[in-house]
Amino acid sequence: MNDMLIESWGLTKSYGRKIALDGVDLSIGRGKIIGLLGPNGSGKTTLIKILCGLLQPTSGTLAINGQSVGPETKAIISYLPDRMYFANWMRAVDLFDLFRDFYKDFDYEKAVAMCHSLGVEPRNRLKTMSKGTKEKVQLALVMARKAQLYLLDEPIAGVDPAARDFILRTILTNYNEEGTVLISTHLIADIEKVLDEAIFLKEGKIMLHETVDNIREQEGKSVDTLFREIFRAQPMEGGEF
Amino acid sequence: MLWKLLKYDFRSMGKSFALIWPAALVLALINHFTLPYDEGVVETNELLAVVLIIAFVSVLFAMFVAVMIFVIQRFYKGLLGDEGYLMHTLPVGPGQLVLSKLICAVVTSVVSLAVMFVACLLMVPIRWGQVLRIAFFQDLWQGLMANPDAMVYLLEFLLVCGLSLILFITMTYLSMAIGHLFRRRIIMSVVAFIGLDILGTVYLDFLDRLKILGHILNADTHATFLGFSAMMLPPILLFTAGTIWILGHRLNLE
Repeated sequence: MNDMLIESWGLTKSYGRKIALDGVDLSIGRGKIIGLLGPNGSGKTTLIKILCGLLQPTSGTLAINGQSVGPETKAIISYLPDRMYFANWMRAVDLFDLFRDFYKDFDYEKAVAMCHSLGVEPRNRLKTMSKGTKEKVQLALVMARKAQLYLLDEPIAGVDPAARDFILRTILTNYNEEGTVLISTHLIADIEKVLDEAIFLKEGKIMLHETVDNIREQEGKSVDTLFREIFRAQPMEGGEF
Repeated sequence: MLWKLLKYDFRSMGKSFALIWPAALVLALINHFTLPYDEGVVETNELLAVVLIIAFVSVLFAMFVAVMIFVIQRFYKGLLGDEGYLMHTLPVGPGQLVLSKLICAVVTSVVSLAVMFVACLLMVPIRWGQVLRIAFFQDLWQGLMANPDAMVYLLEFLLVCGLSLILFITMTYLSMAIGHLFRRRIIMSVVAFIGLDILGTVYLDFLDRLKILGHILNADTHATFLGFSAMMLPPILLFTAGTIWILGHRLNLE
């Protein structure tokens, strides 16, 4: 087992002329909750998709648990995408069956129990469920695994503050503590209290990768305040609209 | 892992065709009793018979369209659309993903053809009592013994049909995989399909120049069937390998 769970060198992804990730060097250890923080379009989702193998980097090197992205790394990653990924004919229990078939670390009973605690009937068809209920099913799928790396892409985006607390509590009470959780978001204030480390992404580049304690100690301010300072939009000056 | 993937692809197939396969058989059975055949076994309302035969043909056509849509959609939505977020994060390689879709598509097509065949048999007024007499099977057996090649011809013919089907499906898969590399994915998939079709013509021309095609066509029937089968193997392997390579090395689920 490698000391570092994720290591990347010069990771770059471009879409035509637009550079989404620009030479990202990254080292992420184990047993941490890390915030991948940045405004919309900063490259958070692109980085997570590359880690999952859904996107191919244009250049650079990436190792997860010392291996290139492939079936072996996918077996240890639990990924929560920013969209619904299941077929309409399925029921939640069909998805649980699928996960049990493919992931050794998936706990079927835990997934069913999580659904019940989230107020979801797992035998109902997914197409009859609301968007919020489907998101809960997807969250139960991801958190019922004892994965080494959880990649959660905007898990609290687009929900009300009460639901955010609910989702975060579900994540915190169910993740494998020996694994690492990487949460992408731009809603810093909501997750700051649970983070061990923060990575600031801006225009595809890493602006900062530091422990939350060090940020507070060295900068004398919260992660949220620092984030607002770094990413504050510059008003137009001296010109005409 | 392939079996596990197939399990879910077959379940998807079952859900998609749960209505249309039984509908074709039921309509064929109803037509069997309502069509005014010459022998006039049953007196029926002719208008009803026309409506039912139109319904039957419509169901068969719908089945054909449904198979086409299923083959394309299971690949496109399942591997290159939102469902791809699930399938490509499973701990399996792209080869198994493509193979699972291919096997499921072939089985769906074959079962649909079988349902169409059975539906036609159900519809026409065959006197099953006479057909199923032992003498019928004796005649059939004697006929086969007298022409032992008949079964081999049939198997060879089915091999050519099966490989043609696989060739078409793998060509469609590669077209979609190539189209996925571009911003205008659907248009580029169609362009890729046309391009691959042109390449197929070039391939046949190449075989013709080497006198291979003429050799196959002028050989005896067995050799012709086997020659056509062998001709289809290189493009099938090439199309499949190309699709797997693109999904493994150029996947971009944006």
